[in-house]
Amino acid sequence: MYRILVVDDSSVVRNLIERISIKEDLTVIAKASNGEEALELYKRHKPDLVTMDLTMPKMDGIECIEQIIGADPDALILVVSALSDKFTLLQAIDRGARGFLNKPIDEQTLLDAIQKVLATREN
Amino acid sequence: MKENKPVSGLKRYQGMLLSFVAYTLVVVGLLYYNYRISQTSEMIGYQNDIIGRLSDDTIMMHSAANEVLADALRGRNEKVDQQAKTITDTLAGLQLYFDALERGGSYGDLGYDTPVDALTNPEHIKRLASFNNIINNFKLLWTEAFQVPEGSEQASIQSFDLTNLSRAVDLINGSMNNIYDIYIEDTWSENLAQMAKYAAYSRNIMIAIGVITALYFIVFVFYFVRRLGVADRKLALATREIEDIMETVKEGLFLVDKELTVGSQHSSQLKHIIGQDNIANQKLEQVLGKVIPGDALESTRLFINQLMNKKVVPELIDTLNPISRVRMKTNFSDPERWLSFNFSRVMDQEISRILVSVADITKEVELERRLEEAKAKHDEQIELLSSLLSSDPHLVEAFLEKSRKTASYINNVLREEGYDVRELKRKIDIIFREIHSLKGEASAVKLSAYVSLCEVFENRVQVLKRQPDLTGDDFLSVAVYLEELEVLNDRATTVFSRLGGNRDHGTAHLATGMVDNSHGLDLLNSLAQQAAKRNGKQVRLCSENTSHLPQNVQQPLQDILIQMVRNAVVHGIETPEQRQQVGKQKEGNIRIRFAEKNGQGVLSFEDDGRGIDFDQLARIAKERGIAPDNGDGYSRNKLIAVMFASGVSTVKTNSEDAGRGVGTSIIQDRLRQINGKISVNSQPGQLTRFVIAFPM
Repeated sequence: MYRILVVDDSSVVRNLIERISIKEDLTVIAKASNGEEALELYKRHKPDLVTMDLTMPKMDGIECIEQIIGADPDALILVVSALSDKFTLLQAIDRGARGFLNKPIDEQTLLDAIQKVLATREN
Repeated sequence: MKENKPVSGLKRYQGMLLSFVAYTLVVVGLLYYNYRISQTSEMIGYQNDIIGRLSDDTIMMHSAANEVLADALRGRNEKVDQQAKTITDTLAGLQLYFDALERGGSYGDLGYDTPVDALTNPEHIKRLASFNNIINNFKLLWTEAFQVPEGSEQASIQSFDLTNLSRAVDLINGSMNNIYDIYIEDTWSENLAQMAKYAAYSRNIMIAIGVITALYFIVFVFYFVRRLGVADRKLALATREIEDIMETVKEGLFLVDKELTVGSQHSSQLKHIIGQDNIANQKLEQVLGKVIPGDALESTRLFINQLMNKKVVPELIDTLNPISRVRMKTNFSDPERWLSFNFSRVMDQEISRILVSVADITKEVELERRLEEAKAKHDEQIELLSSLLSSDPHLVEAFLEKSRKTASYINNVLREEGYDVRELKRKIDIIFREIHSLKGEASAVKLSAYVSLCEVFENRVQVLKRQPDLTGDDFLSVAVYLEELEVLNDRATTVFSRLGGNRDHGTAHLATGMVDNSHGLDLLNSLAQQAAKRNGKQVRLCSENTSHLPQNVQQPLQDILIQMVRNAVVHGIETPEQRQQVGKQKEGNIRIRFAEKNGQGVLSFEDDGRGIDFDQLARIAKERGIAPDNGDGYSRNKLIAVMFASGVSTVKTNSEDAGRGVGTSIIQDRLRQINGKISVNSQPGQLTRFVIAFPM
């Protein structure tokens, strides 16, 4: 059972990801709507994987990724974003995200991506 | 491909090593065996040595004993004494030898002790035992004969027992044959034979080692060296295959290591594709820098670094490849070229390198462009077709007629003499007006193909209008657009006539001079409704007696009315909410009336909107730098003139409907055409009214 932290400023997206995750052995243990919250919740719950939106108030995705990796270098982060700007997405990967998905997300693509990211964990 | 990979390191030589180890073991084993044999042989030698001594001593003892007896019988007692001692000593010595042979030990000679093992041959042991037995018996008898009385150490001359002495000597004499022949001789020669056998073994072992070595060497050379030859051939074959692949493959392929250094091999097509040949061992940035634009280089470096990162999932960043489709850096005069780069990880237990593949996709890009163009053209056609179909055919026909006329008129204008700046400016103004007007009508008839063309045409002309200097060359672009217009006219006319739209209702015009002007009205209505929709307003247009408008003034009046309708909808009439607030009905009203009076035609245009905003006009006039009349104010007439003059518009944005301030100059132009005069009446918040009078 893998524990997931969902970070997105849209409650629709948060709920969508939660609904998709329920079907597999994934549990959404917390949801955050901005970067600050995300960092806080990450430190508290230490989830197995984080889905991260990039455009958020208070602290954007890139910054948040940097902070989380700073606190835990082995954190597994999957970016889920509507941005199509390659450079920004590359920045996100450079800061430590393991991969990204474009919105709109479909169920199978999300589940596959989560599996792939979980697989990169060094045990 | 995996099976052909050459086996690494030791495994390759496993067979060879094993055989060598086997050979060594065999040889060492043989040598050891040889050593043991020679050890044994040496031991036998020592044993024989002892037997030799036994022999010698026994012989000596034998003769000595006989002499003692002889001397004893003759009474020579001193000699007996001497000999007896010798024999005693000898007997002691013999015992030592027997012990050594029986139990193993050492025997001394020339100052050092030689170790000797006990006898092992059962036959020899038996013989020795028998030998020993005899000597012991002799010893007993001898001791009896020379019994030493108690307290005395030496045998006394007087005290020997002749009987025992004789018995002893008899015993020894009797046994001598056995002793020599069997106990000593046989044993001796058997030992010699054994030693000879061992020597032979030794020789054979040496020969065997020699032969084995020679055989091994031969086998080694042929078998293993041959095997290496086979392996080398396989490797050469594989290398050859790779070379062939690299020669033939269409894409440019090369490898890049962790430090982003290019490898030593690359496919031969690479130099055709990126125009560089010796890229081996250069830095990737250097190579790419000559081929792709600078900003792409930065992102590419970032991307490749992420690909090298084993924490990242390659499938989830694949689309971030910034140069999956990139325009190649070329010299200005060279044709455009497009490249596609692809990057893949090379796994070798861990990520060791990146495989870069480049393809020239210029043709594909070209094809794509052409397809898009064709599609756009196709869509345009469909668009034209559908708009021709959806609009009222009368309106469309009238419009097309106007469009042809306009094109022809502009053509003439362009051909006119007069190339000084003032003339050229005049031409530009005319062209601008005509196109603007055409655009308006096109908008009313909803022919978007015309609206688009007129827009760009208009834009171009507007740019030229603003230019302080005009030359004949500037008109080149105008000519180009004109041609496009003519082409569009032809196309539209063709399509339209095929649709069966050219109903002939022109005859009515010629007959009466009056005309059924209903299509003109439809046009105005359509225009009004569209403009209203676009501006969020509601408008109703009604007319009175307009069917009696003479034919010769219809077109110019229509042009004027179009501008008025648009201006009324955009400026004059308020939004439904605004109207309700001031107690008006939500729908604005536009009324167009025609009457004849004293040989004059009077056309009135009235809207019940907010009236003309003279303050706004004053402001704009000031902005435009128009000189005021009295003090810093403007007279109403002046402002109305300003409104009618080209370039004044009370709407700030350049919307399709109004905005360019050119509507009023069309009005001036058309008025001139029909010799008409215009007057304005406005009540703020209530209405605006234009009255056009013209001779019939």
